Amino acid sequence: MTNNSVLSPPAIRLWLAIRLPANVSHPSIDTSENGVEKKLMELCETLYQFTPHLQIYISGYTNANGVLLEISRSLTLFGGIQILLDAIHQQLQIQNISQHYHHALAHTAQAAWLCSFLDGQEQHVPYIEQKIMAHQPEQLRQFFREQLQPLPVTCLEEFPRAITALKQTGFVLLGDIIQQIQVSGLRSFTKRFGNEFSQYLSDMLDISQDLQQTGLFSAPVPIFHPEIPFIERVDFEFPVAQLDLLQPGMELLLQKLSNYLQQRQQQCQMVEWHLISIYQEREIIRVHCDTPQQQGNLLLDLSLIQLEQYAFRFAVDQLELHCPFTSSLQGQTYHLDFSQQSPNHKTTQDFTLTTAKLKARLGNSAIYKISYKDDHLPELTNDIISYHKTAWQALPVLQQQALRPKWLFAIPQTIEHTATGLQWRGHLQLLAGPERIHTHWWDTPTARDYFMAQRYDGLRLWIFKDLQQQRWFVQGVFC
Amino acid sequence: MNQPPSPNLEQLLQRGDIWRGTKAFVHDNNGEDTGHPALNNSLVHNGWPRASLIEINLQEMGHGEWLLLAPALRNSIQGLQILINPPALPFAQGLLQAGLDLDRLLIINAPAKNDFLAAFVEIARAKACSHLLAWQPQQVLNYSEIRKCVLASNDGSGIYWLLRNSHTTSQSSPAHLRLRARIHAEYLEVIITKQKGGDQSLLNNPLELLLPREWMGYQPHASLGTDSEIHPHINPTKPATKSGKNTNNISRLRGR
Repeated sequence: MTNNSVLSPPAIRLWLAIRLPANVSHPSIDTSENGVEKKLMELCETLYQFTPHLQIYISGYTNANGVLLEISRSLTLFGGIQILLDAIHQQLQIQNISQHYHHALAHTAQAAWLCSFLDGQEQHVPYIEQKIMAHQPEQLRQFFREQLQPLPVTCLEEFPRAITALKQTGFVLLGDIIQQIQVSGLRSFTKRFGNEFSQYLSDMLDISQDLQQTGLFSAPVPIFHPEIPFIERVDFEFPVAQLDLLQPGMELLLQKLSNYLQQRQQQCQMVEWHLISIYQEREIIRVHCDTPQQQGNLLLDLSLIQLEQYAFRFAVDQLELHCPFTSSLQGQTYHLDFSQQSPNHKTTQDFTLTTAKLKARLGNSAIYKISYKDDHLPELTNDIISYHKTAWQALPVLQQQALRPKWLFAIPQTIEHTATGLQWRGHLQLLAGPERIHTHWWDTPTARDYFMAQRYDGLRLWIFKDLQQQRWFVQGVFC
Repeated sequence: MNQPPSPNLEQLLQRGDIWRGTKAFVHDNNGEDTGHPALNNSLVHNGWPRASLIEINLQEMGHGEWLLLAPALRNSIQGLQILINPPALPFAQGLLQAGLDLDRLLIINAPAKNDFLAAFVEIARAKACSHLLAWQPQQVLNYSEIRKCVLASNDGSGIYWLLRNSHTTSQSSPAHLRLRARIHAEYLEVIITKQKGGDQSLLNNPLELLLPREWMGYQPHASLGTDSEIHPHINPTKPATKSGKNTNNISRLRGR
């Protein structure tokens, strides 16, 4: 069987490590791990044209990070290692990082990453290319192992404890470890440093853990899946400026989106409608949804609500639907409910649709819940929370016994204190109290005496006297 | 083509929506206990009718809306309780004291009339909503707009209250049940002004619902000390309860 067979895997894998220095991959504006990951994912999307086998590497202990490419399957297509490396270099130059990266080749991803810390890796490319052309995988493996030997054991940064122990035992270079493995296998390392460390060594050197030979079954190479945003378009026969005429096109596009999401087991929370005129003017309308959707029904309803309030600036000739962000479908679990007492999934879903429609019409802040918050000042104990959060309902015993109204004025309203007594839209008479609240001495000292008062018409009010201002206020209504 | 046979009188009388003078055929399971026995006795379904619009006319905020409605809200064990356009912020402490579940209480602000109607219709048709308290927006609803609310209520299965100002009592309304509530010093007055299928002789009879005991006023602290000048106009002779027993808990409040 020839080595050029399409079905047979290459005799040796060839990994290219591209290591980006910390100061380049961590721009000052975004040093978070998410920022680095996003940047590396962008790099992967750029390098996807050279090989589909890409993976990102972010060290958990140092700032080092980069991308690993398995290029053995791309060599024939690009005409050799050197040409491929030049093409990658050119592409990185476009990305403006050509001056800063380090790269190295090896037979495993781990080895390539470690070799990227060695200097002068470019000069080995002709030798590697020659060995590949000559189909001499064993010699190449040996070459890469020799390359690793001068590296200090501190390069195994993922295993800080093992490094300390290795140093104490007299292992200084990776070469010492490789020599030890050749003599007595991996078992002594497994016994002393654990399975994870010995697995790392076997993966790095591409040897079987039990036998001191090349692994019989190599692990599958990861495949990178670039994100392909959903963009679909319909062209109208004539420009339209009415929602009724736009609706069939919207339904068609959302049906396509539903199919797209179902096929990929994905869901989305936001879509963009691009309204395009015959002069290529473009208006973008974003439709958001609280819960991720796979079906287009709710998105259609929400879009229609939003477009009902939209004044068409121009007649729409083309309508595009964009779905820039998707997430994988989340498995939803529900409690078994044999008693049928609790609202079932359908009811919950039903109300999710209702709230989404209401939010589209009234705005996000129009729907809320109230929750109790532990504080002494009444207005600070009332917390307005989002409707899908859980309200805090544990009322302290002190508050359970106190007189509390059911309506609260967020801003207490002033009571007139005249010669005839207290007046707030009528004469007030105190019924019960006082309850003194003296608090917030650490920031804004507040002292109030609270009373229940009755107005001439029987209305019960919750009023207080501010002891510092010596003024009366209404804060709530009993009803 | 065969026409369906026309229903006979017996079948017609089985329908709940046919008015039968002073005696109506009532589906007993269509009412939810109001928590006020006197009011239950005056209502056709012995409680708040489900899937119907109930209009409550109040003189002003605070004239007994929570006193009237809180027992039904407290007794319901499932479903969302939704407030549209409440006249002030519901106070968490007060509602928790009344035994309401804040986790099931949602508040929606829809000040514009169109938005109010859209919100009412959407919520009334949502199965998850068990109780809806809707305060009329600033712009007064006309007959046909209330009719929309009635139709939406018929589609649902919860209890739907529309709270309007008592100025609108004289206006015609398609609501199934209309009440007028007004608070007095000693009691909450409730008058049923319209009830479909109900005994017409019961209409406009004022019902007096008891106020919570603590609302009747404690022995004022003014009578306990000499600081009447600091807190003027506390009625020093006001009895705490009709029985004359003092329910003074001021010492308890002070003790805290």
